[in-house]
Amino acid sequence: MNGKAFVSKELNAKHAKILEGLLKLPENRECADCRNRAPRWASVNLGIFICMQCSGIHRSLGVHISKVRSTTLDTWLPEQISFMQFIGNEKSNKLWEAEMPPNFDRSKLGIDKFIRAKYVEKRWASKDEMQSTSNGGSRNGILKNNRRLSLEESVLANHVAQILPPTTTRARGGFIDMQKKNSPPFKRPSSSVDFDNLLCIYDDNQAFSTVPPSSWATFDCMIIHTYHNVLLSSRHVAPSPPVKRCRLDWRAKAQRVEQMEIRVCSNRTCRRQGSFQTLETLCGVAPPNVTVKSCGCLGRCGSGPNLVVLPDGLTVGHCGTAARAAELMVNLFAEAGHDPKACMDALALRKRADIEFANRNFTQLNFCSHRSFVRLELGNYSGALQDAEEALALAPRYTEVTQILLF
Amino acid sequence: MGQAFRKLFDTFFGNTDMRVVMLGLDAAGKTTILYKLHIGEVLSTVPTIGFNVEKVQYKNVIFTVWDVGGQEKLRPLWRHYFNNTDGLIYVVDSLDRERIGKAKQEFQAIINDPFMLSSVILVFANKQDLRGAMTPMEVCEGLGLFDLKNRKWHIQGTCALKGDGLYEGLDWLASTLKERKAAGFSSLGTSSF
Repeated sequence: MNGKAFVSKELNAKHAKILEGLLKLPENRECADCRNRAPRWASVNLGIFICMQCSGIHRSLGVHISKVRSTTLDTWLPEQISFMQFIGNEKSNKLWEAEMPPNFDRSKLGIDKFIRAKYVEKRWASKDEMQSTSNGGSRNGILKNNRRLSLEESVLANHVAQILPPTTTRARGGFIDMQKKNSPPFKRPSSSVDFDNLLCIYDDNQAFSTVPPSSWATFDCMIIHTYHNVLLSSRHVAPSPPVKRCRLDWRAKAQRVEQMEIRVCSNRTCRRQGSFQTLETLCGVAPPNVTVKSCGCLGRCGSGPNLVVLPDGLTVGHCGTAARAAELMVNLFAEAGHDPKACMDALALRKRADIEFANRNFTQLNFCSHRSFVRLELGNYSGALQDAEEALALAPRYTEVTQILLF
Repeated sequence: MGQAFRKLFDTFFGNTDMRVVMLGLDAAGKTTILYKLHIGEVLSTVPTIGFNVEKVQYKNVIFTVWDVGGQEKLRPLWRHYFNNTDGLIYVVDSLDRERIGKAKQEFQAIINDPFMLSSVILVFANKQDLRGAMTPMEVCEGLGLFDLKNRKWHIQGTCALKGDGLYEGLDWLASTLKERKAAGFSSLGTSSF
């Protein structure tokens, strides 16, 4: 679980050099928030460089808003470095201070209040991109306690909301035992989501033209590209992934993406029967509209490990191995014809690719592993398998040639 | 005779000293906790480079709390604070699911240090007020506390901003310390769970 956190000495030195270079860029020479000279701290999910005073305030916002690292006292992951290279103070402020009057006096508000207004309230954030956070309507209780979207997620959610077709309501409740061969068919009738359609955003650079024309179009592309990075790092390490919420876009009001949540019991009995493995697998293969969480006892300890699919309230028992978890996921969400084994293989391969990726070169390999990851998430398991294999093949010998082959 | 009375008096009313070191990953809330305990207020802090040390008196125990910076390059310096320490307060940011693995790694390194083998362990699962925070039980799992053998430990969900849970934690520390003093300080206790 912590494999990715390991960064070799040489890589560290390389990162330190890159950061040093970034800090010398004119836009990064002053703190993104208070404009003090020579910032030495950074927020790795906002992609900005800040001074020590502001870093203290950023830390108090919580890691769901801002993750603060020191450019000198912390070790960095490759994804974080590339994200910092992509964003930087200038681009970030273009988004977060888009609506700010030009002669705004930031000292009047006090730097503490200013930073909270800027990133938590999003007072001056560009309205086109940020409305996602304000009107994320929720039909059921689960969504209400979701966290706010970060910059990258909001951009992605924007696209998801535009592409996914409407869904219908289903019967609620029920119980499924994974051990019984003749368990009732639990294929969700409404899950006919066109994931491949969604995927084209990631795969094809040309497809970025689906972005609504705005001054932000170019920025979007980069964010989506780097979104994989962030996703890769956060999803992979966290036992339960960050909750994602797709918003109601004005043009997609009728086409709401159905949010689902799978809660896996991690209480003692279920834990002993392997619920953690289930949890880990489900986290790995869950499509973006499905959240996987651990929870307390579901009251069926006899048939554990148990999990419940919300909002249907469908309880599934005896789901204790990775294979069963994959089978369940495929049955619930994927299109017909997907093989649970292929999905498992893809997951395993991707993990191996990630390890390679952590150890060696990360720029090109990155791309394959990312695409594999996203495909895996979206249910295109055979595509993911193919990508993961490609990534593995690439890993040992990284040359310019492979780069050309890729694009 | 007089001395015996004195001893008896001291055990009930005298102050005992306890040296505690407070560690945890960066931005877990160590400095905020320290000053919440010391002056009862939430200060706006900056990242700690180096250390803070304050005395906190609670129920006739005087805790000398050392709060050491948690940035990655400062972590190798933690071991210099281990010697002669009665208790460890390990602070975890419950919201930071991504780094719980890292927190575990550092935690295991601390408690397996030869100087820390006899110290009691108090874990603060901080930032419980935030939505989506891990419960103390999840933090417990994440740190691998259940696998500890022959150690006295306790986990406490806290919110440093409101001060919730901090004194409950100190309560446990104080009572455990007294138990150990009474038992002659040498024996290793069993887990409190």
